[in-house]
Amino acid sequence: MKTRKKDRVSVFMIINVFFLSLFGLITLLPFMHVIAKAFSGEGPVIAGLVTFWPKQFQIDTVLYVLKKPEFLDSFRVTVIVTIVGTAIAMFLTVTAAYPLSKPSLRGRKIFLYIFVFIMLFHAGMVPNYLLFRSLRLTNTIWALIFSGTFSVFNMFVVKNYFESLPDSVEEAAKIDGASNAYILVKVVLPMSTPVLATVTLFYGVAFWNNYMSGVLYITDASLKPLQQYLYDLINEALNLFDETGNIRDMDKAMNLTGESVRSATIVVSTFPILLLYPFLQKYFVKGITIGSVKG
Amino acid sequence: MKGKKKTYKRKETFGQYFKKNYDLYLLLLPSLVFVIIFNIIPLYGITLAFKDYNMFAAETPWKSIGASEWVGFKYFINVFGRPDFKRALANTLIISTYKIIFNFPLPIIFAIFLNEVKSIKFQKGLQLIVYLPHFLSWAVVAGIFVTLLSSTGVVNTFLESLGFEKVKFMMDNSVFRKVLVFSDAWKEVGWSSIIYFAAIAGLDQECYESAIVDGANRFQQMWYITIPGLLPTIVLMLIIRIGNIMDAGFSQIFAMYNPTVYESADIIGTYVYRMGLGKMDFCTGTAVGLFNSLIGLILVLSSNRVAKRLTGKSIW
Amino acid sequence: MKRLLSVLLAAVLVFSLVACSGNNKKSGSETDSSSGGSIETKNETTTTQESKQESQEDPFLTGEKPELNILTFYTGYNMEEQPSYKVVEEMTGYKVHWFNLPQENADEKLLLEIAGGTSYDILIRMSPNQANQLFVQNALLDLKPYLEKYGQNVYNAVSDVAWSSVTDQNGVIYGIPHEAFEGPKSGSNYGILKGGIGFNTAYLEELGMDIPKNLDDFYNVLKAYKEKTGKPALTQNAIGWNNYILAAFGMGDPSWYEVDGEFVHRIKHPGTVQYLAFMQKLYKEGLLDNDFPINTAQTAKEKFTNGTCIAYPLMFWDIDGIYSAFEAAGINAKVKVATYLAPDANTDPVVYIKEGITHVTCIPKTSKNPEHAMIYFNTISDVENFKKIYIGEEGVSFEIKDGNYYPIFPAFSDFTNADKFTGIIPVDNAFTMWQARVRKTEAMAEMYEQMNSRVDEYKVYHYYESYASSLEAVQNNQASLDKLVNDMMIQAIVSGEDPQTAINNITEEWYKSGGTEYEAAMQAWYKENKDKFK
Repeated sequence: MKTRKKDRVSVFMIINVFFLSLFGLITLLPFMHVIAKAFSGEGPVIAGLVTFWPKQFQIDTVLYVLKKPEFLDSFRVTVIVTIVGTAIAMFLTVTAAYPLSKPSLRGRKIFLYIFVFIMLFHAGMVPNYLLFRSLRLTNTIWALIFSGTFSVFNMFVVKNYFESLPDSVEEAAKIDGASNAYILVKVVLPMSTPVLATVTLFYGVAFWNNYMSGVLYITDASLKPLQQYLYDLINEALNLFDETGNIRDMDKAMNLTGESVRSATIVVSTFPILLLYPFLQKYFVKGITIGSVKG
Repeated sequence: MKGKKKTYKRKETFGQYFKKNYDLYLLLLPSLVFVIIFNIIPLYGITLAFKDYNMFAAETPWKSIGASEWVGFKYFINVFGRPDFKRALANTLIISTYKIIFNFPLPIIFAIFLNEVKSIKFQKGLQLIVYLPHFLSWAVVAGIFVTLLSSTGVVNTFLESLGFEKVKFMMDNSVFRKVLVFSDAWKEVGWSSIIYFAAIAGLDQECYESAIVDGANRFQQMWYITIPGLLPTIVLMLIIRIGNIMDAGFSQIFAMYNPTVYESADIIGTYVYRMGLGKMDFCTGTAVGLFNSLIGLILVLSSNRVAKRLTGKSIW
Repeated sequence: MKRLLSVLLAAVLVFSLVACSGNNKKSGSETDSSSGGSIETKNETTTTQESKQESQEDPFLTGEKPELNILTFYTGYNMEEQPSYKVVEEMTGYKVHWFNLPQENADEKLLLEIAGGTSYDILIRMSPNQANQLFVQNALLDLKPYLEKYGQNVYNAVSDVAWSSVTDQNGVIYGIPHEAFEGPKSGSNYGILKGGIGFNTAYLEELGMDIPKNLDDFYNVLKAYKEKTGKPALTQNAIGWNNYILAAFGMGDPSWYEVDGEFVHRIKHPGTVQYLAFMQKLYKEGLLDNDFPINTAQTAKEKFTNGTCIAYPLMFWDIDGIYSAFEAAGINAKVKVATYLAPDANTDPVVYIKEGITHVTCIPKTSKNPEHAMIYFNTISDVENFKKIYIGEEGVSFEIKDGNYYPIFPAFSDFTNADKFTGIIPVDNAFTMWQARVRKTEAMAEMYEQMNSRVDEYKVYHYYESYASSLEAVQNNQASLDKLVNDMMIQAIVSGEDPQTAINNITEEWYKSGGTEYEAAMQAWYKENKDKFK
């Protein structure tokens, strides 16, 4: 991170670390609770006896979840959608952010207005469904990839970053006769690793967590996104009774998945995407020092 | 330090500019095409806010949008005219504003102070932990909060042991909003701080080095270097957050609320949801969405202008 | 940069390979329904009537069988991965591609899919609302000609009352009703009780009290527990209606009752005010868990199974989980259940059995193979076929003792989700077979037995209100009104305000929010149909 003179250990440091650790603890505990439930026997889970450590430890539940064909299908779908979708999204985002970061771009204001407009105005379920239907994309994996691909917010983040880079390096390259595209790829992007890592993370997580696209565009069970699978599992337990005190669907109620199965599913559905951030963390450092060109 | 916004004298014509920079427009093209197809074309459906949608009116539902009857502001009046709507609107704005005031600065403060810790390992490790709650859905998290905050839960037991009275956190209108704000902070601060970490990572080291040479202490460095350096990011995040003011947190409130706290926590989203149960009412949803978007647009435009005037930074 | 490009390229290649393999299954409008593999018509289980119709000229019965695209309601699992899938394929000779509606927004999704022209050959197990909406939009085929030609089993399975609710005034039958089999239509009432308020037997013993059967005893048990331990006695989910308690006030599961000759909603029943007063009393005295409005299904169960509360409303299938939780919590107890409570020691308790339509199967106009769809559905509605799909073979996956069905494990575990693959058969047959599922575990069987041991003490009524659920006024209002009433009941129980005033407020809100037309439709329907039900 930063190069700093080593400070002496001060009161501030102690207090700082203390409060930060406290915060870290309270954010960690609920996760530990869910993990503990995933590895506990059903009995203690139902009785609410599991706090942060498994009781009646067993790994059968997790293995059971991992072997379920529905889980594997949804997992595969979501992995593909996340990787391909993020790649496409990053491409669209970076190619849009760069020109818009140039104040000299003619028509810049108009483009910006368009993007802000679509950031705020959404058409709703029906038109989106109908669009995908006319494009023959319903019940295909492309529907999952193209829904929510481009985020104006993320584009603004990248544009912001590009704007904060000093012009000197780019101008030097321009004098040497480089085209805009060349500058973007060879000069700007290598200097932008922090923001690229950030936005990749944002997109990756957004794709991984997207479940609405499954509800809207998919009826084929083997294309159900992972989060929809998980959400359905959790919801089944919540929606058992109707508002008059009667059971809605007896067969569903009789075959309800157990709470530990639900916890196990949460754990295995969330774990992979958690690995993305540590992987990207090393990019949160400036790639090339921009101080290389003075003036 | 930073490139100043240049003012351009129109020396070249558009044609000359285009010839030199056509590749810029080429770069812009893919996203524009994408956005036109997937974002702008569906906006035709916003007309549904003013129509009685009958999906089967024409051969395809798409054409049915055009074929359906205009009903003017019927759906708007239907929602806004209801007695409980005022309460829902008020709650939406109040809760959103609380969240902005209390929860918006937290990730920034967190990022800055974590950055002050010497050990890089500690920084990285903590970053990995605090963003975890973001990945648990509210449906899961709500259950945890219910257990913690119920009258036999840990918090109340603790309060009692200190001699205080029990607090009905989730059933008391005077407390519930605070529960919403606090739980939202807990869930999102870690995740929201990521962007500020990235921004701090992008700051120019030289400034810090010269400041240290000049004898600045850490707080002065924070105030004069870090925060101004973060300002473009902060402004962007704040403007967008304000633009989203009409979303007071539907998934959170839906998972955590109950009839005893409707008065303080029923927002537009949850109210419209209950109203529309069992009905297949696309038009009301579209109307409410349109209303929310309009307010968002006004707020984004005005806050952008204010930001420009106050700080010189803005979205455009 | 080059490396990045090549990675992207590889990803795209990989994806397209994978996606192509997953693309074989598209809904009918994209691909023509190819006759995937001509399987010979194996009419091994046809009834005699069907073989009479099996003339050489009818290509639908003797010709090649196309692949069918079937849309059904939400299931949490993949239909094509279930053991029953193969069983049905062999039985009918059709290869089926299954599609599911989502758990939420199912109605909207269904309309969009059908209006948008997606071709499904048959829609199995739609809700009555959904089927009716499609019919009103003229999107469904008249099933009469198909039923006459290919649907004999189906005709036999459905009662006349049910047929009349899916037939419009011109004689068009737009759907096949699946009738509820929550209880037998005639004969012994054994098996109709499936839930009640469960009591921790160890605590009951400590109190020296017996399982309550009427309201006064119930109150006394709760009170004694609270006085002894200071903890809340009864916990439940965040619902304002506890139908087991409601039974003591002349009501029960149904929402509509005949009171003084008029057909009215629960909230207008005189017993409701007293019910509310009683619940308020329980709440105020701490006998009812004061946190019940924020309870989730899990937290309520926790309070019972970790020993905090003595009573909790449960269904018989909850018992295995509860016993293992008791064990984990170190509680040495069993559960005894108080089903629908009697008003007092001198009056018989009352229970209502639901009759009605739970689902409707229909064929959209965009179906490519309506005849085949009907043949398929008819085949799985043959009683013997139904049995084979639903519970398997006698001696292998189930056995019959004293006329009751018992499952045989491990074979029976293949049939967990079999109910989604069946057609329909007469209600009484289905109900008896269903009981094989009840006896899946010893604890469940024992609990079911316990609950029904007193069934002869009960006055049994059948209620038919769900036949009206496809009326437009009902569709538009029932869900939101039920929620409104439930919410206000919870608020009233907690606030403790004067019950009569509270009910008056609720009634007023109910009328204002659509209750007027809801009531009018239900009353008209009742007047027209009540004689059919006797």
